[in-house]
Amino acid sequence: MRFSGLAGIVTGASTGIGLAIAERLAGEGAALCLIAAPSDAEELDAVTERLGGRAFGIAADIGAERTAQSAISETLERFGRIDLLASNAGIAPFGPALRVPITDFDATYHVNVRGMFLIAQAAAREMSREAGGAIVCTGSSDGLFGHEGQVAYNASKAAVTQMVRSLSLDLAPHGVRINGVAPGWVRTRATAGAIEDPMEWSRHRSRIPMDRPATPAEIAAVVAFLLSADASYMTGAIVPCDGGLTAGFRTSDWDVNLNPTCIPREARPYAPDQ
Amino acid sequence: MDLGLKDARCVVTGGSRGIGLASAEVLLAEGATVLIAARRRASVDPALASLASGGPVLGEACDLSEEGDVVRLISSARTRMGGIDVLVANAGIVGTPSPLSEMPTADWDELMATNLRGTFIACREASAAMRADGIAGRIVIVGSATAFHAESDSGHYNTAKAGLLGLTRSLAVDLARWGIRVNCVAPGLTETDQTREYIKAGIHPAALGRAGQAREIAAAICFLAGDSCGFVTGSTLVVDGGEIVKGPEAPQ
Repeated sequence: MRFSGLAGIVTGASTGIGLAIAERLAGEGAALCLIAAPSDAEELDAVTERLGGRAFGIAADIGAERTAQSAISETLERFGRIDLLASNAGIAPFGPALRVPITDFDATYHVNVRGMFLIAQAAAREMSREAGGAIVCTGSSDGLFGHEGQVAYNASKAAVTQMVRSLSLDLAPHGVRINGVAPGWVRTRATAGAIEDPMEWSRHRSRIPMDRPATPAEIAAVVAFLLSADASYMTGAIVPCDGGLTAGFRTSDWDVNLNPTCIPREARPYAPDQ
Repeated sequence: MDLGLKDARCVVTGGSRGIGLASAEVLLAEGATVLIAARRRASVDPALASLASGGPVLGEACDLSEEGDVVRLISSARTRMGGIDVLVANAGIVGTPSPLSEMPTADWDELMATNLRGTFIACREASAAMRADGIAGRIVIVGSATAFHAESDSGHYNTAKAGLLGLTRSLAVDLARWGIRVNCVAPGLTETDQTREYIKAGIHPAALGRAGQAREIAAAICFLAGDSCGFVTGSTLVVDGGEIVKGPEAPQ
C-alpha cells in the first residue's frame, strides 16, 4: 500500500487511462478527488461510488480556472492534504490538417494544455506549502513524434512534454517532482473504433513491436510508479509506455507471431499489495 | 510493492558494487534469485557475503570485454538457475579520461570493448537463452544521463552510453516478437564509491539539488525488470533528479 494516508487528484478519471489510474491509486490506499468533464458526470458518479468513501467526484471543465481552485479546496477540506496529482484529462478530435476547424484546435488546447497547467499549478502551490508531492502528466507518443491526421492533438501533447520538463525545474526547489508518461496505443473508449476495425488496426499494429495495444491498467502501473517513493530521484522525465512504438518500427509481419513456445506475457491483473 | 519479480532468475553484471549491488539487493528483496557478475573474483566474494542474508544469490567472475567470458557467464547462469528471466546489463568502466583531441585509440577501444561490445554480447546471449527456454524475459540496460549531455574529457564514455540507447531501441524492436522487453535506465550523478569525492566537491547538477542514491536507481531498474510494466519496451527511464532537463546553463 504505497499511498496509504496520502491524498491526490486524478483528472479525466471517469474512463480509460484516468479511470485505471484512479483504481490503482485507490487500490494502494490513496484518498482521491476525481475530476471528469460535465458530459461524463454519470460515469464519474458510478466510479466514485465503486471506489467507496475515500473518493469524491467533481464534474467540471478542467480548462476553467475555478475547477482547479475548487478541486484543491474540496480536497483539502475532505482529506486535509494533497500529495499526488495525476493530470490526465485530454481530448482528441482528429482530422486532416488542411480541414481541421480552429474550434477543434482551440478545444484541444483548452483541455490538454490549459487544463493540464491549471491543475498542476494549483496542486503544486499547495504541495509546496506542505511536505512536497508528486505529479504525473499524461503525454503521448504523439508528443514525441509526428502522426498524420491529428495535428492539434500532437502539438498539444508536445506542449505537455515541454511543460513537464520546465515545471520540473521550477518545482524541484519546492519538493515537488513532476514527470510524464507517454502512452502509445491504449484500448479505451477513444480508440475502440480504430482497434475494432480490422483493416484500420492492421495498419496501426504493424508499427507496434509488441503487436498489441496497452490496457489502461498498464499505463496506470507506470503512473503509480512515478508517483511513488520508488521514483524519488525522478523528475522532468517522460516515460514512454508504448510497446516499443517510439523505439522504432518493424518492417514485416512476423512468422513467429504465434510461436507457441513463447507467447508474450499479458499484463497481470493488478492485485494490491497485501 | 509487488514488482512481479518473485522467483525471477536474474543476472546482474557489475553486481559487486554501486548501482549493480543495490539492484541485486532490491531484486532479492522482491523474492528473486540473483547471479551477480564482476570482473574480479576478489570483488564478487565480498559482495556475495553482503547479499547472502537477502536471499538466494550466486556469483561469477566475468570480464565483459572477453566474448568467451560473457558466453560462459550466461550459459553458466542458465544452468545454475534453470533459466534466465532478467538481465540487468549494468557493468561498465569509466575509462581513462582525456579530451577526444588527444585520446589514444587504445583508451577508446578499451572502453568500447566493455561498455558497448560487451553489453551487446551479454544481451545477445541472454536473449538467446530466453528464446530457447520460451521465456518472455526482460533486459534492463544501464545507460547514463551523459548519453544526452556530454561530460568533458569522457568522450568515449558519453559515446558508448549514447550507443546503449540505440542498442536498447534496436533490441526492443528485434526481441518484441518473442515477448522479450528491453529498456534502459539513465542515471544522473549517483553517489557510489567512485563518485563520492566528486560529490563532496559540491557538484550537484540535478534540479533536486543532490546526487542520486544507488538505491533510487535500483528502484527504477527493478521496476523495468519486473512484469508490472508489461507494455514498456524500448524506453529509457531518465533517473537524474532533473539534470538533463536543465539544458545548457552557465554554472552558478
